[in-house]
Amino acid sequence: MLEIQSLHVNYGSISAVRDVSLEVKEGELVVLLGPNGAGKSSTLGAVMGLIRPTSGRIIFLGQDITGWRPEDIVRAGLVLTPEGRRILASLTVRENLLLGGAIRKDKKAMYADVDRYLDRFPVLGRRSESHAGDLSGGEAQQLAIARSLMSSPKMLLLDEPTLGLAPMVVDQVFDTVRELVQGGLTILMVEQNAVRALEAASRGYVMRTGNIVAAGAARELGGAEGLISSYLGIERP
Amino acid sequence: MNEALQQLVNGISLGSTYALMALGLAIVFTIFGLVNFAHGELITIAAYAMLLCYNIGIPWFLGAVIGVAVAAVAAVTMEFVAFRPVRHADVTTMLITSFGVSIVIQAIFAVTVSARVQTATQPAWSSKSLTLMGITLPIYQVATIIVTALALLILVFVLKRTTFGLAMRGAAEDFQTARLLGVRSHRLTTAAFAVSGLLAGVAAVLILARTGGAVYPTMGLAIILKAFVAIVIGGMGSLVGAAAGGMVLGIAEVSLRAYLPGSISGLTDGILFLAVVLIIIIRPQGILGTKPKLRT
Repeated sequence: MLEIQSLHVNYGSISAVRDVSLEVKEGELVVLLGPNGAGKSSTLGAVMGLIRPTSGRIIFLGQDITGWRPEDIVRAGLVLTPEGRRILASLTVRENLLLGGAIRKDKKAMYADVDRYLDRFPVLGRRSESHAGDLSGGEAQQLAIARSLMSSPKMLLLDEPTLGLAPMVVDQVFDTVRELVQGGLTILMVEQNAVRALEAASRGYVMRTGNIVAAGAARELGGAEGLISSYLGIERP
Repeated sequence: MNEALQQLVNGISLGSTYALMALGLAIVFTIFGLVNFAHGELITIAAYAMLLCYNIGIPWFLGAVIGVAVAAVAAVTMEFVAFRPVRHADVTTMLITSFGVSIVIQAIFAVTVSARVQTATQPAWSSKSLTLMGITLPIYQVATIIVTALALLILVFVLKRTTFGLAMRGAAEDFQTARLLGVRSHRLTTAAFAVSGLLAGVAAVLILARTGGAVYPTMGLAIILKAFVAIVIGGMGSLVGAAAGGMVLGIAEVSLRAYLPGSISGLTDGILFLAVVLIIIIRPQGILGTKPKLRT
């Protein structure tokens, strides 16, 4: 479904992503792991057209989307839930969802989806008319995911969905992600919580300092404890 | 008492045009991050369009509609020609570009038409007065207040109740996130400039009604300075602030002119600008403003 071919991203003279190639097939949950500054977010940013890649190609559903604008990539069916959630604080919860669905032509089904997500995430339903800026971190993450789903995407990019959340809320986020995959959505997730992520995912890639240094089935990556600890930069005594 | 009431209406009417201009500035600033110094020239352009309409015998009302439309087109053109190329430059570059646009437009009218004041004669009713409960009010003042109130209501309705308004408010808060949700950046920017142009066009119609149709190349400059003052009072990026700032400024200006002793009433503008300096020092986000956001 999504194929990244030898992607390079530079910020000025600093190279953030070097020769990254990865693939996500339809219906998969793939995780992209790695320590801070490994280039994970830059990779997602380049896929979404937020950052112009220095070289490389991004193929989505057989179409070369390299250099497209974010607003056109969303219309093609690929949506990003950005790091830090980026909730529009001055809009209400409902308005955030409506804006997420604004590109859709089937307005009736879109409004029905707003109610569906307000139902499915009761914390959002209770606060649908209040300013989204008043939500807690966990609530905001649920809103961010629901808002992305409002465009009825074919594939979802999740950037650090559990960052800064309490352990119980982290469980909820992983539950939601599992449900979405069971529902048939394809997901590429960037995550720092490697153990939890590999439990949920089918495959994984590990990045370090701009390169992909390991790839494989989630079970293998999860089993190779030494691999994980060394590539995630957790030095053992 | 009556005199005070009349001055109040006078102030609100003057403040209405400031409010319309301040709103246009605030919308472009929140969406595009540009402090558009050439915003005043939109008034000038609309006024010359109306002057042309008057000269070739087009009825006043139709001329006013054309003037407003021309201002909107001019605003969009300005963005496309001058501001889009410096979209990613820093704020100073954009500000200086807008200075340049302002000067070029003034010069074009001075060279091709005339640097002197021309008159687009206004319809007779605009200079009449009506008496309400013992207060005599010029019709143009009443019309100005009504038209401004209508324009504000429509603007609030669009921002609050339409998908386009939702996109505007979202983009004003976080342009990149709005794009990630599918908001088309170019189209939204064009729309923001068009709205600012429409508001400036309406202001131009009202200003001509007040001044009896005086049209000259630098007419936008005096007004844009006042609109900046209104924004400093209200806070950049607050729509309510911009509108309220305009009103407060209008009332303050009229009151100072009316009640200061004759020998120093010429200092009205000086006093107002001094007040602005004080506001910037004491409360830089404006009296009503918070962080830049397109709040309604």
